Amino acid sequence: MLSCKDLLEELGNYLDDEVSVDLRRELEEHLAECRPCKVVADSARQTVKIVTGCRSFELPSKFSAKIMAKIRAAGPGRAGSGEEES
Amino acid sequence: MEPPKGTPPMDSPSLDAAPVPVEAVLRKDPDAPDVARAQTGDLEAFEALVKRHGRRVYRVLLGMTGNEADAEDGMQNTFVKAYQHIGEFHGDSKFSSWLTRIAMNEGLEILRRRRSKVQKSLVEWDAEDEERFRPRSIRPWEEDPERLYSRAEMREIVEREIMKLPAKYRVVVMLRDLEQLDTQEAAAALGLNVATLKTRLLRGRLMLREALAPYFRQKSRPDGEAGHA
Repeated sequence: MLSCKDLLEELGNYLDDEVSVDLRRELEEHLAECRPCKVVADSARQTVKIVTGCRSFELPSKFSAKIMAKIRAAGPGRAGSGEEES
Repeated sequence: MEPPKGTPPMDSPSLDAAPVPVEAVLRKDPDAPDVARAQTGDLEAFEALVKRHGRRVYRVLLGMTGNEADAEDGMQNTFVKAYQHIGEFHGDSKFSSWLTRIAMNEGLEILRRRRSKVQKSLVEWDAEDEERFRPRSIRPWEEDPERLYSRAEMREIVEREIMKLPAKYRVVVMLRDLEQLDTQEAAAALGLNVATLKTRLLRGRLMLREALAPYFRQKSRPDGEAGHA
């Protein structure tokens, strides 16, 4: 039986589904017996799900417009010129 | 592949340790056609790269600096340097990894410039502080926490709490969980080995879990806040 410390060390791999079948079984046996670890694992998985669900943030289009204006003002450097920038 | 001149070297330049054959990367890198056009001076192609990768660059810089104005300035400098040095990009890594490395260097430069005011940020970034993190909150969360708040409220809560994480954990969580880079790609982009990236990611996620617990845990069960393991 894995310890709570073992579970915590493998929790990241478990959340990312990067554990072997055997290790997964051992982790899940521990989780079935240990309520605090179960809460930590479940809420850590919920944390990842919540954060992943917030990824739709988009940059305002003015950001790319500003960048392109700065690039046009700065000149090409090595892009297209084949010359070393000083 | 070296990051552009004029930017400080990475602290852990593991990206260059095992170069991948150029042909293999170009086959896999969806940016390759736009990069090739941008290398001939095609600004439209480069603008497509800016639009595709702007959010990730911004998040790297926001994650490192914790400051929106610095992140915006750093993002502009990152893309200007990338354009000026794109002729030096030979496809040894994915374009997105190369670009993220430039952003990382820009972020480190911002932190160095700030040293007198926010020296802790730089020390914090360099420090190896990977001891085991002990979860404290062990009260169960609501079954479906996303239903407790509107989408806008949820995003505000998450972004606010992510910004409170120490920078080295914040940027890893942003790249892995917000930008959804895979482990190897995030490690390469940040110049970390995979083991360190995984350690920081778990720590960041667990710290964020603690921060989010007051919003999402069950209200009716007063037990279970004594800490664990």
